[in-house]
Amino acid sequence: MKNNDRDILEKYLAKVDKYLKYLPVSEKADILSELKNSFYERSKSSQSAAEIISHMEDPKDLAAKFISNTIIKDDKFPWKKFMQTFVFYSTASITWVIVIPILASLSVSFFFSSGVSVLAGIMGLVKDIIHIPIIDSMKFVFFSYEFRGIPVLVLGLILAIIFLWIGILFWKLVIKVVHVVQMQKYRMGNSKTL
Amino acid sequence: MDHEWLSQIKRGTLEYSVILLIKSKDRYGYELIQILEDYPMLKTKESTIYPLLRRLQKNGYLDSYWDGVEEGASPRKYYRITAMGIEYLNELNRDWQSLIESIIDIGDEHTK
Repeated sequence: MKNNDRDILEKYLAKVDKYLKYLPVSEKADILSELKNSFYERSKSSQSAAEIISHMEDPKDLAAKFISNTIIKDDKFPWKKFMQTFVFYSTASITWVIVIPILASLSVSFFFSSGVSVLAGIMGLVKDIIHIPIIDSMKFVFFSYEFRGIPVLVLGLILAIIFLWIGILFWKLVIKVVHVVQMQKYRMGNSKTL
Repeated sequence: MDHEWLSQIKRGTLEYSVILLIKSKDRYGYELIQILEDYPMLKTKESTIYPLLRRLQKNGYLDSYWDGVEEGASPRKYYRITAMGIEYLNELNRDWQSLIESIIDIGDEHTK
């Protein structure tokens, strides 16, 4: 092959290479080697470079034929991945919109109840010692038993501890749920890049 | 002659011709171009044959391997038929047979 001829053919292949840019390197190399062999065989049967190129189409069109072929072949819709993502985001959004707020407000409610119980215990104790009209009109009833004096305070404190404990439990649950959701999202993100 | 009709036929039958040729022996792309050169209705070019061969390989009907000819020469990529390819070819043979019979039948029965 004359040097000039080789240049013309190399130039053509370089252009095809450029337009094949979105294909994996191995596939690109394979396509170009095959074309190169075709050029080689043609020039061996004494075709000039100009003749060979005249048989070819525009490098862009040629590359497009390989690319469209690849895209059609790889165009299987990733149902599994789609369903995984769909299920994740549905569960995640339900978790964010419903589960986490409910758990969080339950937790806060129990903290509040705990505070109220302490207050009620103190007021029950005070009722027997000092007589304040508003507190006097209150009754401290627990399961239809009315309590007075020290037992009110004790009961109030016991309830406060129980409510506080439940409140902490719910709060820990909120943190746990947020953590799990984030971990799953992190894992999904990783599997996408694989 | 109407070129549209020719290109339509070529589109449908080139794949069949290529698989038939590769079934008889392992072939490389340019060899197929050369053989088909002798048949005006099936004549083809690199831009058609290579994407077609790649598609057939991706579908599992063909297999390929590189084979260096002699020292200094550019290696050839040979294609050979797979078991799936033979199955597919049998299907194509049946379809082809049935198409020809249908055309003959239509010509005989309905155009008198």
